[in-house]
Amino acid sequence: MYTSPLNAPLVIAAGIVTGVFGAVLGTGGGVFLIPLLVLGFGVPMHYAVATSIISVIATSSAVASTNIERGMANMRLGMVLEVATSLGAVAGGVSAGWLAASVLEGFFGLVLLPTAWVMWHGKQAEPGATGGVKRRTQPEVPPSARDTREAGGKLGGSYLDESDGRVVCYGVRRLPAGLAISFVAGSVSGLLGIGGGVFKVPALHLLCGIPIKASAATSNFMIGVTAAASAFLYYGRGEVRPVLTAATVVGVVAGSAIGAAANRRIHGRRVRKIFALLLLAVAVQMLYRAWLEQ
Amino acid sequence: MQESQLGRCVRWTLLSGVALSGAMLVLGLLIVFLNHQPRPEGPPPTLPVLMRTAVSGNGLSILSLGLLVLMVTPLLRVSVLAAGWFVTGQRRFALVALIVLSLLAWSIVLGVG
Repeated sequence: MYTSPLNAPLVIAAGIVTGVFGAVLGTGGGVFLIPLLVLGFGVPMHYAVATSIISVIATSSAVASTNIERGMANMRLGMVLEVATSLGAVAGGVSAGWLAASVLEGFFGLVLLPTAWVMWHGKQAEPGATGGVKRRTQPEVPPSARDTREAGGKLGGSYLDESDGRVVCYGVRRLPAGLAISFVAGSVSGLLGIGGGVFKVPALHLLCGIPIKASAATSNFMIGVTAAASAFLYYGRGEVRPVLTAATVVGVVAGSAIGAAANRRIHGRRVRKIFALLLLAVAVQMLYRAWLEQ
Repeated sequence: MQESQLGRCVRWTLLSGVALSGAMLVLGLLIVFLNHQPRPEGPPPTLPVLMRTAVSGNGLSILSLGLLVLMVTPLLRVSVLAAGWFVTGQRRFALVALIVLSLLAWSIVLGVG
């Protein structure tokens, strides 16, 4: 079995590896974890999705606490968008209970394709990214609530960009579009156990005009609640296997911490391209497996 | 309550949830593998049964409770924000947080209710 005492260290190691990759590459670990569990350990797709959802809650909670401390995550905007992501996650989680494993595997393979594309093009939080207005200041503390209110409406925000010591202020455009994308991201998260940041971060940045760093931090802030909205559905169906999930969560959280520390020393462009190709290969394999099972 | 204080409360809530669940998961894994406990398939036991068996040292029940603590952590974070925004007079955002809480409660009822 995939959770025997003999291979539990392997499951923990798999969690560590996906946690490191997730932190270094700026993606949720789910895109690596689910194929590894399904293709590598023979875990049924529904159990793998449930395991990934719980891991997402753990990593999101740990990372979000840091982003809140730095003032990067926009809590008001995140809460508004969480209405849409939670609704989508419940819809996705309920739908997953009705769908065959092969359908989920095929859909997962399809979702990996745009994920690989985003990773190849490297739309990650970068210093000096556009989307906000920078004020040259030398603050010693993160921006205050007053900064945030001044920045642009009730949903706008501001944060201290540590790379150049400036405060970045921004407003929010096209909120309905942001809500629509958030609903889609929530549905995909509930259905496939991934964070959905691959949809939300580019949408918040390109459609809503939020700087890429704040988009990534706010998306991560939302992911924990989105995952929790579908986690109880998987738990109630008996698809959260305690030993498998616990071993994976312990590994993923440890791996995320290692990856976050290593991230400062790694120049991600070449690594991202290698993993984009790897994801493409995994996508093809998941689609092929789904086709065989049909 | 200022915005920074609210942020600290949220941060503390998230870190406490992750730390508590992490400790329970590690302890539960150790007990399961030392005792070679079987891993039954099927729906999970009810919360009272889990708590009773966890107190008596059942590793699987400790694991399940640890996972439940982790799953409840985001709910607590939303509750803290709802209370914080209500206290600071940001009633509109408190209402939004309550809507999110009601969606999460709906999910719990659908899943384990």
